[in-house]
Amino acid sequence: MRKTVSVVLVCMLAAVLFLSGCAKKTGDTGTIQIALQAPITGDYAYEGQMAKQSVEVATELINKAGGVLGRQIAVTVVDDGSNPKDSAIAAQKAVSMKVVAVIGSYGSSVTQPAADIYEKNKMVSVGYGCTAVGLTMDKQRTYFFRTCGRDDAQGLFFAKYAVETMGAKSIAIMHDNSTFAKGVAEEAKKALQPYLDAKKTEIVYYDAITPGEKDFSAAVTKLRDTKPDVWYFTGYYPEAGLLIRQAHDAGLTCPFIGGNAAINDDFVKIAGLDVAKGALMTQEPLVTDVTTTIAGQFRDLYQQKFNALPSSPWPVYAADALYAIVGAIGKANSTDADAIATAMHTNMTGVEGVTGPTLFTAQGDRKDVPYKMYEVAADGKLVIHKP
Amino acid sequence: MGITENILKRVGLGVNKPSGDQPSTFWSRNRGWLLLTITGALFAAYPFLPFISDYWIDVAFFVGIYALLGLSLNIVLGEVGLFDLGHTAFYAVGAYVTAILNTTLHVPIIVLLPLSALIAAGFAFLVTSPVIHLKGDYLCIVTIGIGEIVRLTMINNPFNLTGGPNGINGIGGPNLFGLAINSSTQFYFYTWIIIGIVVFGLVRLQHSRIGRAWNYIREDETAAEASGVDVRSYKLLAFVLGAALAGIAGNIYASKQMSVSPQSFTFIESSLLFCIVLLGGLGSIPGSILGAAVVVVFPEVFRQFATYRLLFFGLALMLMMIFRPGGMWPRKREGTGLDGLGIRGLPKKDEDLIPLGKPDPAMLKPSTTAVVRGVKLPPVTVVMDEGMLLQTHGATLKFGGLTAVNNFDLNVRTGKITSLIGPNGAGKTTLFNMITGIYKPTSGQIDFLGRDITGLKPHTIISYGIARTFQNIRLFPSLTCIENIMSGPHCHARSGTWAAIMHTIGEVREERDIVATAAYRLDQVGLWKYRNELAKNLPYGKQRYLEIARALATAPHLLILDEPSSGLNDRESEDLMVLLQALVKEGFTLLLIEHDMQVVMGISDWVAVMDMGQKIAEGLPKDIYNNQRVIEAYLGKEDD
Repeated sequence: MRKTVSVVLVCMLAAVLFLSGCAKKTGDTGTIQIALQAPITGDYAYEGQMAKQSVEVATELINKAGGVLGRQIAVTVVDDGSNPKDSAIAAQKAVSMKVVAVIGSYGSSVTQPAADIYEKNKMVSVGYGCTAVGLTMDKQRTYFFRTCGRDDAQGLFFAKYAVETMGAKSIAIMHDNSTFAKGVAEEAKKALQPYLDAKKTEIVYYDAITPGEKDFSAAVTKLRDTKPDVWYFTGYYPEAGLLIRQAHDAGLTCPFIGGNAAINDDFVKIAGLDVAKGALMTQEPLVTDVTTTIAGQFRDLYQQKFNALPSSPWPVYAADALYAIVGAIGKANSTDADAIATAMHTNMTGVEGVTGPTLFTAQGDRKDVPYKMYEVAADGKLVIHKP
Repeated sequence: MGITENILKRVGLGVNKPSGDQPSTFWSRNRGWLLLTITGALFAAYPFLPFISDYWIDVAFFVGIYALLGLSLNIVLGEVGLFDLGHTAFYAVGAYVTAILNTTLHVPIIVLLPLSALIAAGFAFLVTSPVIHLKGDYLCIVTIGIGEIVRLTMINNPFNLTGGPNGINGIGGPNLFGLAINSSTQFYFYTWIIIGIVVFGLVRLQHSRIGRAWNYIREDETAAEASGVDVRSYKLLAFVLGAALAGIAGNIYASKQMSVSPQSFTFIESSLLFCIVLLGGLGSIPGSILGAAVVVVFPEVFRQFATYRLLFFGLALMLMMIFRPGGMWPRKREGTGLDGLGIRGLPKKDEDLIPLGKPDPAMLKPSTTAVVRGVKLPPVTVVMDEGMLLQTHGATLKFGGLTAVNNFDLNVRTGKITSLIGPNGAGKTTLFNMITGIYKPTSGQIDFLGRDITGLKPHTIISYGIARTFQNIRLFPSLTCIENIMSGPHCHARSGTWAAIMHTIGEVREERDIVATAAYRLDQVGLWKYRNELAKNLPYGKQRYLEIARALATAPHLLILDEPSSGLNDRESEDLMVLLQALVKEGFTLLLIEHDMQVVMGISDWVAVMDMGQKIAEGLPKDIYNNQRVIEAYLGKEDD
């Protein structure tokens, strides 16, 4: 027994030595070290993997164009495992690596503790998939930014689109109690309030389903009986696919609008093309629908390297975050965190990311994040919805 | 006079002991201190090692959090054997209490540390007391429910308290009398010092009647209850203590993360804690810490393998469970000797313990073994027939439509051996179960020593002085023989949790009395040399004796034996008869269920015969032997 214990301890010690050795490589090689904190493992691993690929592509593009301050940039990935505890450890790892700035992370409650650690250690971090309003509004942070929009932006967009463009008189909102989905649903509800007060529309259904389940017939039946004009589901694609399928079988015909996590290729596979066709989605534009010059280069290189394009918009915001950081380093003419943060707050004119200009508010939120209503076309691809 | 002498003797023992035994105890204590100092030094030096960055200090911090959680679950799962797959609920309560009170009312974190523990403990008491009687998988499912309810409540943001899915942020750090805990290193020390204190308390609890009672329940709940352990209360205590520790972990976690969100308290987290305890070894304190280290460090080390690391992790867990099913660092009981019991002030030679446990002849009654003091029975309320110790009046038990025992009057005379015989399925054991409180009679009354004991709990009845053995031996298999018997005096001892942790004078004395009583009874049944063997390793016949010794150690007036000679060969049966007669001479009253007619006729003073739940005869053995109805009941009626 003693022997096993000591073997385990020795192995751990060896691993510690080995890894801390790895971490020490950061130094005076001339490259500017940036970290990407992303969910490489865990529930949102697919997002993390695509973020990693996107940042790789962006790094290559930036370095090809000469880098910044005459130096090349290099990105190291730290994995936050899609949960808050691992996120804190990952953040501490990035801090220990003494990188210049950090991109990350995906998921608001995962980003929260990491942002606190970066703030404490005076390190600029730029979130790319964390949309909770409170992240920037509850607390004034100097070093935290994000390239993605906030939940209220999406909720506001949905409310306006559903009522003004689609003319919906009765609206159903469904979420899955997850951090993100409930956040969007609440913001949408809040954004609908003026329309409710003006008696232009009403919310006939507001409830949650349980993620991971397979049979939603009870929820779908209840939803059908409220006779909504549109149905907004803010949860994730596995449930979204099943829901729309089962709603179709139950005879629910109103338009389905998914939140930005509800629809991707797997959604179409789960629902079946016949049912998925015509489903709508409020979303930040996909990289395919972005018309900037950088987006063109990005698409080409990404396609060439990975033989596909990111199937969700978030990884592209990770690339945006890198462009923003590099742009700020250039504007500040320094890799000092305070200089970078100041530049990001005040001096980003002309700095462009894949999705367009990367300007930030005093809170660190990105200004003018574009949203679009997408539709699943007859071939299963997403196209811009034309009402 | 006798009592004072007895007490003086005990006090004298406490005074005498150290001078005579200094060499051995000094050495063994010294070794313990040495190990402790080395461990402490390693922990203290860790953050200052040259290759340790803040990242690895944080990893060690999280090992600490999970060690604390592992230790807290270990109380429930490891010590008591209750499947708790919702332990994260208490962790979450601790974290949210800290978060809410700190951000809204600005209560300092350090004040919230005990407060989180208290509230988590109170919460555990509330939610587990209605379900604590559930066994195994049922309890498991309920605890999963508790875990999910807590998480969903936090997501749903009741009264705008929990911040909904995004949780609460802006939590402050602890401030220790002017020293703000802020950096990774400070948090590391803060956490591990707390763990040190917790481990100290837990080790002491493990080596006390509390810890042993938990283990008795884990080993065999029915036997524990029948040996006088208040199973329900001890289970609740385990949950409450476990939850308090989890609450402390929640407090530290919240103040370190500066934010809490429901995503930290998922079901996976609970199962991870389960893993920690299983991996380390059920009921093992160092095991839980090691388990936490593996569960936290392993994924970090293999993080670069991305998704595959979980595959490795799963594989490692499987191999682990195949090759070391008891865990990495299981608690050792066998071969640790009496020192392993962790009781202070034992005599140098084990044998010296035996005479100390001998019941005081000055007190005359058998119930006055060393440990019995201050057990207050309620006043006498029932007038019993002259010379009777136990009487049942019309005892009846119905299971649905089936009447197992019908209107049975049993009389047990003080200081005699009464036998209850009857064909298989007559209802004899059922009657025993009614007397000992396992079943509540449908009607009728049971009087004992002038008190009505109908429907009392088994552990209460045993403290009145009725002990029993089981038809199919029920020992605590993975505990040593002496530990088995130490369950006997448990119901007469009074030391609580604090006394056990603080090692109060009374507690130390009580512990010594418990082990002395156990030693005496173990010696009496001839099993002294097996004292440090696990009960399950004894041969069948010896297990019977062990069970009888355990019952004797409860210092009963009445000893109820359910088929004591079954499974014994002729010689063993004869030995048993000798022992039983010796017990009567010592002053015990015996009530037996027996099939071996040689035993029945050989030693009984009075025999009652039961058939189909009814009394069909009673009388002196020789009368019963020739009773026509009895012969019919056993052999069937002859056809005329």
